[in-house]
Amino acid sequence: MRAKLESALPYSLLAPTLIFVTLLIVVPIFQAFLLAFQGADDAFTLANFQKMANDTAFADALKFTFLLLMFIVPVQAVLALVMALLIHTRFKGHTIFLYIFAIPLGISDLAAGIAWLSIFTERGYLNSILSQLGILETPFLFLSYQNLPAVFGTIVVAESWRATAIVMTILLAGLQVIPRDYFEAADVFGANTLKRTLYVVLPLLRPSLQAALIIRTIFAFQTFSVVLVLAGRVIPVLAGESYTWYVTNRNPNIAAAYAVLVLIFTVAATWFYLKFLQTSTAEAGYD
Amino acid sequence: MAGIRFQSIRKVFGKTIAANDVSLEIKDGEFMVLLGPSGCGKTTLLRCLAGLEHVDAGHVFIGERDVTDLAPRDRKIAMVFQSYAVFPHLTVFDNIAFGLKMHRHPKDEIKRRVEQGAELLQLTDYLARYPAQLSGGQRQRVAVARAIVMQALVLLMDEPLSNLDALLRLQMRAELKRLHSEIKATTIYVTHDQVEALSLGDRIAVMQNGRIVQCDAPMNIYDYPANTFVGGFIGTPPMNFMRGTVQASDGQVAVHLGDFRLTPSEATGARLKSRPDQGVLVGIRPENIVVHLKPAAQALRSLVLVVEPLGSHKLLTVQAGKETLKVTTRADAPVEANQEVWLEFEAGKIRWMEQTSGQAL
Amino acid sequence: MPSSLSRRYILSRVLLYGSAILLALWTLAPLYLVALAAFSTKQATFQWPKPLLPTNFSTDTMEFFVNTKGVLGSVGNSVIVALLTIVASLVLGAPGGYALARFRFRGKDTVSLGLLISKMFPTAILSIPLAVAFIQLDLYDTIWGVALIHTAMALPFVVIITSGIFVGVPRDLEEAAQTLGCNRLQAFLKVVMPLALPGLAAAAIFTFVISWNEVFAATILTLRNRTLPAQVLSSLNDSPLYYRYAGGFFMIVPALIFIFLIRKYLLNLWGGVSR
Repeated sequence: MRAKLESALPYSLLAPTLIFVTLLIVVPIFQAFLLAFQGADDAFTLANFQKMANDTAFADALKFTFLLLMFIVPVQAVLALVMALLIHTRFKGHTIFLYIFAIPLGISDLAAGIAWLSIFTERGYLNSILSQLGILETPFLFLSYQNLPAVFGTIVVAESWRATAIVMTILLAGLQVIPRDYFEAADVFGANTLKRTLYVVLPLLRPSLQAALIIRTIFAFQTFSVVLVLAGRVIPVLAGESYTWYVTNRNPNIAAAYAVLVLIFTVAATWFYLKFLQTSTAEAGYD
Repeated sequence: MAGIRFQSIRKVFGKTIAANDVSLEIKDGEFMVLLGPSGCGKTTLLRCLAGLEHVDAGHVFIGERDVTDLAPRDRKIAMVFQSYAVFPHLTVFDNIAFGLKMHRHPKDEIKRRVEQGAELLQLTDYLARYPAQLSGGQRQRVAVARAIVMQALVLLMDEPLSNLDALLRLQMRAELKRLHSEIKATTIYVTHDQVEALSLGDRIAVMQNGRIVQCDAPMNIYDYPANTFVGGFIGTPPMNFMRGTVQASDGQVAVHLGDFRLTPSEATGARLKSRPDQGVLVGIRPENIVVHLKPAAQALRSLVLVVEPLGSHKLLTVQAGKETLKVTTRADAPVEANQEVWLEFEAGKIRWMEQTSGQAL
Repeated sequence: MPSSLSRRYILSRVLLYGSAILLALWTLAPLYLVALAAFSTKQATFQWPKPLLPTNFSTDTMEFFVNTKGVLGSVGNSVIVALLTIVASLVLGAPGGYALARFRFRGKDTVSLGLLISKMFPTAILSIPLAVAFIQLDLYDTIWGVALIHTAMALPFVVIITSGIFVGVPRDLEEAAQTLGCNRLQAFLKVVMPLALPGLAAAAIFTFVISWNEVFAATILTLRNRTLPAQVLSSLNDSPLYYRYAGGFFMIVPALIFIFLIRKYLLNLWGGVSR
């Protein structure tokens, strides 16, 4: 009798979490699909998607979301790898640097956008420094809609700055799992640091890299506040369009259509990474 | 204090049968040792008694009470864990007092008992300290003190000495024995160390593969092992077993070990007579073999392979025919490697086992 | 050491420290600059070129920001939502973490995988369908609604983190407590909780940061009862530049403090469990 009660215990302990997640994540996923395919009189319709696709901002939103992805993810991967490797050498004072590098973990994308706004704005700090260095005479309009590449660049910089910390912590944790013997063996066999990094560390780091890239890509599809702060609607992105359709245009259906798009891309990206990098998430030490 | 009864206990983990229909009775005040290699089921049995595992079948009785369905807290037991499980966030005093506080004893009673227990285990000076400030041996004593102040019906110990270094283990073994003689609690003690078992137990239950193979007083197990497993497990070095064939000729039974003929006693001979031409195992302990430097009657010729001088005695590895034997001699015996010696088996010390099953005859 | 080796060594050390310092400056500069911008006069916002040193320290913009209608209220809302989220996610999630840590049961791997997936899931975007549902449930534009979705975002982290914490508390401590008169719950409260407290505190702080920083869902789900990020975002186009600087600074500071407090646990948050 007591045995039966006790064997039910883990399930009852997990039940609150599972119920909550079902209600607040699983159900809304279905609701998002329902909303996206919902027409007048609750009939099934593709009209929302059609309207979304025909909207002028749609193509740009798709384009820019993917462009951002393609720029931000590699930049962050390299930066984070460098940071993680540096910290991993455990040089004197590395804990202070670890804390500094990790600070952006606590900063929302909105705050990050504002911080870089103060730098890139017309009378901002970057222009100030450039003019004081004599490189510029009049301020450069980084954030002007006439300068799309520059605006895009500022977003890449700001987002890279903010989210590199996330990738770094994942890679660092992955590095710590690699036994020191591997590093030492490589040393003994005469590999210099670069070779060692390429041939020993990176392959062993693959599960973590994969996890980090998946996470970073998924988040990239949700890029929102940074873009809004720095570029307004000059650079549309998927999440931003979803927001605009809901809040400004008061159309929850098209907003949901964008949301569905984001969900689909998220799943596709995850599947792609898992197949492409071909290691299981269990290897990344997630269990 | 109370006696304990295991009745047909069965416990399965996935595909492994940890306890296979085990029955055992332990007398009130007895120190019973559960001995066996890892995986034999001894710890499982102990945990079933404690209530930390549910039995799949069978009953557990403490005294007259059937405790099979009771939670550990209701069984009036006290337990010492292999890892000590001393609470890191409490002082030594609070650790020892923990069970008493849970059972709502009055404060002065708690104080009295804790101080008593601390004195018994020489912890009086450490009562205000935290476990992190103690050595492994001291933490172990805290674990023991915490258990004995409960004055429970039964005291359970799960390999309490195995994490101590050899010297400390020796000391604590003696201390535990002294403790038991003072508090006289019914104790179940689990270990894989046969020296501990021989030293501490009133009785030893030797377990293998989820079954009790033999349960008896230590010296009986030592002198009359129930099978080759017990004979090989108890005693260092373990008992030697040699293969022989029974040959009955003109009413006489002899066991052949290669060229060597061994004549069994009358009683044994009678038992062997019914098994002509069958294989048999001849068991003899290393210390029951007399080494002759010259050919002797009824002595098996053998070649010394290795001589290990172990301080109090010499341990020889000898080759006799196809068998390799361990023999102990006096420390000053003039034996060297590659020397021929003749081995005489002390009468009355030979143990006969079936060859196929390993069971004693 | 032969001189060529020592030169290589020095060079590698210089490279090491140099890159570390460079990256650190890169990380810190924007924070310093936005702080600078937030603590200057309103006119200084439009000054150009801008001074890089705090020569004109002034609380002008900060005061303006704090005194703007709705701001203090939104700060209060952010705090309340974060606290609600902490309580909800710990109450719901810690038992789940305990179950994962202590029990073997059928479906455990599925649950672990599910939590992993939901950790990476774009939960915020689900605020769109949730907004529609909340309108019908009278939860729209309430701090409760925001707290609900924040809890959904934090739960996977809390379950995984607490599971790691509980694994770190040896099981036989609980068993010893049970043999000494505790039932399961008492053993948990008296033995596991005290030892798990530091880790739980870290989980709570981490949950606070998640909730405090969350923008998208908070903005979608509120109209008048804004949280701070929602407040700043929704007024982005209407607000003067200095208002935004002050808002940004305001959002950064608490998070900075909290990240400092949990710096020991930083690696556990995203990178699996390291002990």
